[in-house]
Amino acid sequence: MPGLAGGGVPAAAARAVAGASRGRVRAWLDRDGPFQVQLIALPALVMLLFQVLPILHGIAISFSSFTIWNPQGGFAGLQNYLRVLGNPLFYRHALPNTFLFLGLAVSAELVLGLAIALLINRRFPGQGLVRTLLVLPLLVAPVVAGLMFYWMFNAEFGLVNQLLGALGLSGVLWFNRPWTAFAVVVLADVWTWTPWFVLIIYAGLQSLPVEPFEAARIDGAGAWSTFRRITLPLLYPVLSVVVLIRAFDAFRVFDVVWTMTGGGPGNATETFGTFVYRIGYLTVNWSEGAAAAMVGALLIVAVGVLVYGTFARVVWGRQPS
Amino acid sequence: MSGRKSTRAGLDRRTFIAALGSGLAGALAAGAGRAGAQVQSLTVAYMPHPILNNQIEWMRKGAAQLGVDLEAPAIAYVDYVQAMTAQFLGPRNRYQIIWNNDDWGQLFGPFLEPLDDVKQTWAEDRAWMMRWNGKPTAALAVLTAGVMFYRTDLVADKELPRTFDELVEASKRAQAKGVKWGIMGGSGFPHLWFTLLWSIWSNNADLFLPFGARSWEQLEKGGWTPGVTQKEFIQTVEWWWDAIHVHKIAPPSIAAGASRTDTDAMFMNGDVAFAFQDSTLLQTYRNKEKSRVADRVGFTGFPIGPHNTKGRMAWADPWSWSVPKNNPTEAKRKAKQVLNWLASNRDAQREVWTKVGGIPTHVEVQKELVRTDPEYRRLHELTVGSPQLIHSAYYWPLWPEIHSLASKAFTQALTGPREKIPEVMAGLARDFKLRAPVPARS
Repeated sequence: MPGLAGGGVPAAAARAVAGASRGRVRAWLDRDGPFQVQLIALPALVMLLFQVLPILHGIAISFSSFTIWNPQGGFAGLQNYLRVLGNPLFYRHALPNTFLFLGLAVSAELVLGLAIALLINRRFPGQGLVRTLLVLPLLVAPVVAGLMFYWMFNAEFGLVNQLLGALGLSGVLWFNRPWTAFAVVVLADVWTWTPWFVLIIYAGLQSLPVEPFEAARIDGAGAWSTFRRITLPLLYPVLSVVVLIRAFDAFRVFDVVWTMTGGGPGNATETFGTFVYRIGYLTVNWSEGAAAAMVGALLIVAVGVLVYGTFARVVWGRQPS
Repeated sequence: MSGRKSTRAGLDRRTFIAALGSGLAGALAAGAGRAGAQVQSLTVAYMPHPILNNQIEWMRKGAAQLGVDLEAPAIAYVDYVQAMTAQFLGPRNRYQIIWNNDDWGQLFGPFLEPLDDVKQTWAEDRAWMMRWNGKPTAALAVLTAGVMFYRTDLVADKELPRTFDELVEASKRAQAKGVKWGIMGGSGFPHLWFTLLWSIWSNNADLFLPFGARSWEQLEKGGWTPGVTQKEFIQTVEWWWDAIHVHKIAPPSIAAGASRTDTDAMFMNGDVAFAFQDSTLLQTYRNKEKSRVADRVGFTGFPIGPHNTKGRMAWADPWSWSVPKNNPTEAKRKAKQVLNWLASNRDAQREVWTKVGGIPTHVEVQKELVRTDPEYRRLHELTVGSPQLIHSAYYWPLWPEIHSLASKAFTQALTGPREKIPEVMAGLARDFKLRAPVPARS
């Protein structure tokens, strides 16, 4: 049977067609454009599956009455959004606390990070060791940092009160008063994230061109003047990015707050992250939790636009010619 | 020159794409193969806790007898509900057996397999809330009951306090003997049972009225109203305020929202005379490797407040095991077999008491221990046999939020001036009215 034996005309024609088709596929695969598309396709698919679709799903849930006790759900209109916006815990505590936390923590981290980066951006003995030690807090998970600070500032067993006692001072009930509790939460965040600022700003400093600094030296500019008129403006693009990223991150702070204070005492340290967690997971009210998350997403976009807009104005307005 | 191009690392493009495709296909095939395979192992979701650790040991024995391996990766309590949410809603049915309780676990009902084919060895009046559409969804493991632990070297049996006032005096006497604090208990969410809740329920006060109503139906029928502005409630909060700020028998950390882990640390370190905790911590407190007061630990019931006319209050509510519905039929069958074995195993149930300090759910084992073990008989009389046995949670959807709001208001009241307590509680009542009304859970 010629067809089956492979020696007949129809089989040869089929092979020729298949061969030509394979050739076209191979040629298509070998072109640069499609290969780039292929490389991007997988990450894009992952993003679509694990970021875009969950967000769309979250939006859909936020308009439903989908809860653990009513998994069938149903359209709820704006009911969940109204419950979130009408919740005193949201507008009286979570929101003001979050913006206060964001402002204090990110400002402190920026100032400290910049200062430390400038200090280590010069040659000194043990520079490598210092750089390594500085980034160690980054290896500690925020939840662990929260627990560490909780026990360090614990009224009964805490190291901080023991030290104060050794100095003849009376211990402080850190987590009993709103402002001290808030300060410890901010401190834990600053301890955790300042090294990240250091790392990025230090990398930025290392990449700055040397010519403007040489010119300034020749012109007899002082250290402060060089910093203010050359270093800082050249660093603005880097600073804008780190502040923007950390502002997003600080807006949704959760781990350190939850492990240290649980949002207390009372509502003194309740933040947007703990509020969403409280609604979505403790109450197991997924649709209201999703609505809270969506409100947060809109707020965080607004924060991003504000921070980036501010930096952009500063950068374009002051960039050295 | 070949038409093929290499990547910068020298990897042939076709080889790269072929390897990627083969990898994906292989992973899919492996997943499909596993889905269709015979059940050889079960995975249990639980949080590390003395009672659950002990139950897992027994579960392993039961699973081994049924020819099944048991995996039990511990989940931190803070992550537990999220992990269960992922189990119920996600495509991956990772756990075939899960721990839950009457507190938030009651809400899992729609996602749980009916367990009417698991032999019920427990009393129904302790398990009625663990049902969905009339069918049981939980196999009970232990009854958790709060008690007041005390240091036997500081407090003689005849001095055990029976009222709030006696507790203040007993604490002061103990402090005079050198212990740092008189009383300690958890006050932050979700540990409010061990300060505010036991004390309001012991003083004829409740979060919602009518007193003791626990289902939404009971509350609606009784014309529910927040109970947090009643004088009995306010006076109980004031008692705590005085305990911290006036008598100084309670550490100020209670006002900051202390956890029950704080209580454990302080009691086992020898820093407190009376500690409010679940009885399931008894053997941990008596463990010489963990506790400095291991040989000096006693327990008694909660004291009663001035408005209590019904006698000592107690609760004894279940922790249990369940089977998520979204598992393959064969896996669910095996899981139920293991739970059936566990619930009926009298040795496992005896160890709930002997190795841990909890109350067994098996009614016959309870009777046997009451006959044979004087210390268990005492725990039983103080809890299950208490004149005022209540449930320690509300069985409708927003209970966890109510619990959380109450915890926040309590710490707010204790950190502010005493005269502001009624105002704080009025705010809590407003929050309750705003947040509480939701459809009944079933």
